[in-house]
Amino acid sequence: MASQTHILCFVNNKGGSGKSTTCANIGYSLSSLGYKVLLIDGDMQLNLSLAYFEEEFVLETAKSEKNLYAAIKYQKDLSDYILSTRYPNIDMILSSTLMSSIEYELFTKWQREYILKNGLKKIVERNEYDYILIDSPPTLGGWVMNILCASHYMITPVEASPWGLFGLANLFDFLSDIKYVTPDLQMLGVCITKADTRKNYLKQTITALEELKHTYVFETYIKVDSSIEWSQENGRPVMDYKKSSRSAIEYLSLTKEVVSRVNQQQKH
Amino acid sequence: MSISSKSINRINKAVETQNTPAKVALIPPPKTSEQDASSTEASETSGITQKLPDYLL
Repeated sequence: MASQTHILCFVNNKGGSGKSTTCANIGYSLSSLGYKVLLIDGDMQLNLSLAYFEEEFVLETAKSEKNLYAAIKYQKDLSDYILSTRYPNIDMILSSTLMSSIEYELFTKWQREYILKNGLKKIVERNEYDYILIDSPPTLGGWVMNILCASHYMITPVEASPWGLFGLANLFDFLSDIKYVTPDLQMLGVCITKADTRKNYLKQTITALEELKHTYVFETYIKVDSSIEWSQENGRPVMDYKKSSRSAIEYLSLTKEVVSRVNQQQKH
Repeated sequence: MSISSKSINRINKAVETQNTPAKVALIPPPKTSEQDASSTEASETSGITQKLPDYLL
């Protein structure tokens, strides 16, 4: 049994920043370090679900009533929607393509920012998991507000590009605007993904990010690596697909940093 | 200034805004004649302190 469940979300309104890949691989790395993990796929693109399950099963579940969309729509306890993955320490709540219309479902609900938080309440009370990781869609609407309100910490993967940093600034503006709704949420850090060491611009991005005054940037950054695409092709986290790959090693290193940061924050 | 530099400045500004303590509105209760006679300090500490979201201030 976990001593306390830490809830982390992966948020960036810019698409293709590596949220799902980072969530999937940190989840696996956490389990390899001995932690029990629940993954929640909050994105209609189903990518986190695909990282752990066969495509047919993901699509079948997406059409059924056993997914996150149904749980949120009917405001259910999320315990009933948890599925076991092939890995003993990792469970998941799968998504649905219908998540694209979740905003409409939320609109008429009372205290609509807290539906996910309320759905997780019993799971958190049971202390069954050390970590709950929530993947989010590339938007900043009411559903992402739900994810932020349900989380203790937020990690933002960002691509090393001018538009990546522009999107990051927009995200921080948004966070500043909604601070009164999510006063306890802490930004755990920004993580550079898809880093291409052949490009000079990577150095420029790192130099720019060093100018951040109050925001932690993870020392580990995830470099471009075809093992990630191959692992996606095979429906497995990269550490399981090819443990010796560069990205598997980097994700493990990033995960250790995440754990260390969470432990530090707990002490404060 | 490049997009990257401007973005970093925006992020720093946004985080500084977040770290600013919440605005606090002091709503003092109606004064009685006795309270009028008491010290200013006493009347301030007896006020209701309520946090209000920015958009209401």
